[in-house]
Amino acid sequence: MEPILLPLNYDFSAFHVLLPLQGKEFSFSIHNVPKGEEFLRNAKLECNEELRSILRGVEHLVQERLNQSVDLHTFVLELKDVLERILRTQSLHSLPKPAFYADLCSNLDAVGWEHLVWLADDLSSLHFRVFDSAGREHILLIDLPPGFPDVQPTASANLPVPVDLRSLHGASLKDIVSQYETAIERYQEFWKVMEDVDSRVWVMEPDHPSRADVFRRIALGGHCSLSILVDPLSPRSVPECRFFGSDAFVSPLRKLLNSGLRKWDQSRLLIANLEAVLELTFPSAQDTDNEDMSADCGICYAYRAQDDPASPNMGAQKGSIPDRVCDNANCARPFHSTCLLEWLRSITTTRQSFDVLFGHCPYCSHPIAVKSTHG
Amino acid sequence: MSTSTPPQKTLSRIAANRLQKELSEWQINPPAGFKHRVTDNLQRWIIEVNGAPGTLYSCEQYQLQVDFPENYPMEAPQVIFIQQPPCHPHIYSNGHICLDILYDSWSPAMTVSSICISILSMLSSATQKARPPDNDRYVRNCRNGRSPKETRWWFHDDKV
Repeated sequence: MEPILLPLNYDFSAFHVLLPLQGKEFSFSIHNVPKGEEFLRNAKLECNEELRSILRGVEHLVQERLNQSVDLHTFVLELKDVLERILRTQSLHSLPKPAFYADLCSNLDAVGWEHLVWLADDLSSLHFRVFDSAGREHILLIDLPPGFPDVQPTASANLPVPVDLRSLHGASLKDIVSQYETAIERYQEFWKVMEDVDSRVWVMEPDHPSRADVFRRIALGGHCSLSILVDPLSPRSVPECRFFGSDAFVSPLRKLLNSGLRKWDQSRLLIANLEAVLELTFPSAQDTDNEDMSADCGICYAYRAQDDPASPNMGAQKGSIPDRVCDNANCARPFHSTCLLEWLRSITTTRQSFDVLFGHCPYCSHPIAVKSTHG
Repeated sequence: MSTSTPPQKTLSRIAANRLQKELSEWQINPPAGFKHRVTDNLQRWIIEVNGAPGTLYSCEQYQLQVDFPENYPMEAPQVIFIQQPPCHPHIYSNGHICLDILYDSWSPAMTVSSICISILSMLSSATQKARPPDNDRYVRNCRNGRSPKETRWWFHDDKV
């Protein structure tokens, strides 16, 4: 098929070119084509991202050829020649060397095929499954570069502390898997503690804790909660604690936590220790009245703040959870700061001082304040 | 009978989400004496009201029309009686209701359900069936389908 040259203006100084090649059609345009002169000395090539990426590295060569070409048609044929050659070498590159397959097979033999749970169609990535000493299932994700085994594969796994899983002897998958198994054993105690947390109390956040999550937000009842950050290497020691909720409810707990740390006993699990120090029993998700514990915002009735249709790009990330609670202990309604702000802005009785809005709780009329920079 | 339509913009996501939840709560636990007429319009609810037994309005049936603004619940819904409004000292013959929570005293803590209960209690505490004393003047001023939310209400009587 012949390339097609379409003039873009009346004086024939710019052309749009359609160049069919290997079942595809490349399109680009050439500007500053001189009239009645030999050589396209000042001509310029403009092309789309696809063509540009193919020509990457040889742009200066193409430009040189263009400026030395006698006429447009000669240049287009030359460009076709260049493209053909580049595309041929690229397609050769995209298939791995035969050694890749042989090596992959012997590597899988070494690891054991029973561990392989998923393999990409183009063999570029695979998942291994291993079980730890407590019988938990763990999945290891491995990406194989085309240059494998000369190039090291990359591995990623759900561990509380990121580990660089690299083979020490060449590119042995067996090596990576055994390193992963060692890493897993290091966190047995951590997962034991976290599984106890997840099974015994009401975890509000994260929604579905993964093996890597060291953070939990635990419901306390009365719209209050406690967030903890657990040290994965020392999961039985005191975690970093933060209380959320009305001051009246939460302040005594803060005091108990500060004064009662000598009751902390590392032979107990974390929840048992927290309950002993805070002198309470955490409500569990099953036996709690939903009405009391529902932490939905008292204004929009949602837990996760709905994103605004005006800014649709917010949709990717999850909305915030209620972070403002009425200080009146008998009310203690939770709100999203954004909702509270919108409500206080919409009524005339609200007062503002610098960036803080002062108004009243929509439920109990107790004074409530919110920063206006939140929205 | 005017069923004045406020200039309706589509509900915001917050409003739609909250109304969905109010509606499902209503379906599980509707306020006594009220029936939500099922439509596919979340933004306009038609609610049947049955006068409470033992009151002036027992065995009588009325209809409420509730229109939600796009920024509900930051703004109150517009609530009016349609067809034949009950004869009551705080209900005008065009269906407008003089009730503070529908206007100045609205708060997002209220719901359609709590509004209905307030309206029923307002009906139940009436001692005589009468129109508001300024009914004719008010209704004349509202003739162009004006929304009751544009009225500057005086809530002078909280006994009835």
